[in-house]
Amino acid sequence: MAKIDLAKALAELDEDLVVAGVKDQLAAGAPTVEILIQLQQGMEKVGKMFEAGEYYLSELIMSADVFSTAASLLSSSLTADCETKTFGTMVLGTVKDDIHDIGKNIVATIMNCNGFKVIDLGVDAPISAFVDAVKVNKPQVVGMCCLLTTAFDTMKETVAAVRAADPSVKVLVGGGPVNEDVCKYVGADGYCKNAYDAVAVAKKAAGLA
Amino acid sequence: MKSAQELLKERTDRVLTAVAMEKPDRTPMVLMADAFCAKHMGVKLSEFTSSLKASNKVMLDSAKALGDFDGMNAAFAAGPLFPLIFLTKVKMPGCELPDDALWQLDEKEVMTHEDYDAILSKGWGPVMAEIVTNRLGVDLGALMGELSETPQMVKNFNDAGYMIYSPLVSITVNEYLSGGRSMTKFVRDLYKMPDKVEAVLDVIQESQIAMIRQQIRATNSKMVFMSPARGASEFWAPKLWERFVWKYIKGQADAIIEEGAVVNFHIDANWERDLEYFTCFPKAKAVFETDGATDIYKIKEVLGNRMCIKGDVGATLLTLGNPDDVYSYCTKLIKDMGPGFILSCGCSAPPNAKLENIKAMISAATGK
Repeated sequence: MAKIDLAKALAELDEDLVVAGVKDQLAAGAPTVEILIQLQQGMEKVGKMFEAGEYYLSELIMSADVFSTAASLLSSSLTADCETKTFGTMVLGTVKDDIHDIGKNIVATIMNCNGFKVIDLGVDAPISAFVDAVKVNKPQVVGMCCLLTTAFDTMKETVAAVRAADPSVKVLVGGGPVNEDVCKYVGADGYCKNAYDAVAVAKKAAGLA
Repeated sequence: MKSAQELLKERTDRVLTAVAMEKPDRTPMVLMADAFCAKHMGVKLSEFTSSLKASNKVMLDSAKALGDFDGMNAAFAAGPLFPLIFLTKVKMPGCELPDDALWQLDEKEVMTHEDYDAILSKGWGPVMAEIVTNRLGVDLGALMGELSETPQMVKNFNDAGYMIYSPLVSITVNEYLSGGRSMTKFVRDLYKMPDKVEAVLDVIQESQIAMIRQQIRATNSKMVFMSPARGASEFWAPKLWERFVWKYIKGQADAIIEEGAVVNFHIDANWERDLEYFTCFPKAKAVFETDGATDIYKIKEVLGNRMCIKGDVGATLLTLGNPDDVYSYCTKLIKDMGPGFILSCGCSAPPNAKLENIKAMISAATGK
């Protein structure tokens, strides 16, 4: 029986085929890290299709779900969130006084599936949480989200505090009302319209692109 | 000086003329704002949301202080009603949030796959009531009691010379499941059990259409607000969008138009890919209300000869911009959009919108 192309199956969101392929390779004794790399290649294909306008948010969400299901089948030597092979680290959170998390969670999942360790501070994250996480984890990138215009000033203060803690870290912002003007207002390095914008900047910051 | 009734007639005619795609005496301006009004009047958001009646009074005071514009989208604050729209818990100021914080959706999975089966066997009404009452903790009886005073709250504005643009609201059915299941789980359902989700949506749609028909007949409303917020083209693959979003938007809109009302599509996020679909509606029977994420010039190009456009002064511009920026943006829109245009904010004016920026919008519309 021909070996299932895991990357292709994942990019086509065929969960049953991905699961069967992972099980086949595990039974054949394939190293779990190699299987994981194939899954990550599938996520890269998804990202390219998203950038090309062939895939939408619905496919991003579903692909991340298929990835998580497949990763959970790998041995305990690999965690489901791919932490054993990370390209870099991102600290991510929704800023204080804002509790929206859908966009942030999608960014966290996509970053994770693309090989980044994500320190997720959750929602309503105080400035001190961002600063402490930066000091402890030494990330290449910090991501801040908000959906409320009333959070712009908090975001601005958070960016300043993070910069004071580590001037070398790249600070990205995103969320419903966030645009280039907001990016400039809060003093961030970049504005991400979607999760794959964050992947691209993070890879660059980590010296991968 | 004109009486309130003369002003109301003049303003209503102005708006309806634009909706009819004809040339009004000047471009109408309808404000979509609630929390902004509380900030404007120096009222804490906890007090503002303590009752619909309380929000109605503050919004009316704010309108009077703003002066000469045509009307407001709604007569009271929207936040307390969000659980009925998105089947999601809403954290409220003075309750789960600080006194003066804006209400926020706290989306979690409150519906399960078993609820799909329950809807198919029992119908939508009883299942929705159980979810809203028991799982979201809403006192449905009390809220319905407050809503029954909508005619008086509308009259309060009318008596001051302002129209209420869309007193009736119709919910697009995918919003219920997307919120109730939570968005990521709903997406998975669409891939894993599409036929069942469609069957459930069909049941909800039938109930929703029957209700909106009854409400239009009971109130003789001429405008119905429909907000397919989670249905944006930019979120969905075309085949999913056609089957799980558009089918239900069109079904409801057709029913509303058949009842003799105009449907106001409140369009958040980017819908550019699918603008052509909206050309199916009869001329001047719909309004495309945009938050600015869909290029308004593209909307004009595709739909400008079919329906009135409403929008789209964005929340970020109103917050971070200055009055000159806002005035320039609005006057350009008024010039470029021509007849069949209502000046408005893109979605609701945020609470921290600068007062002088809202006044700049009014200046652009009135020429004063």
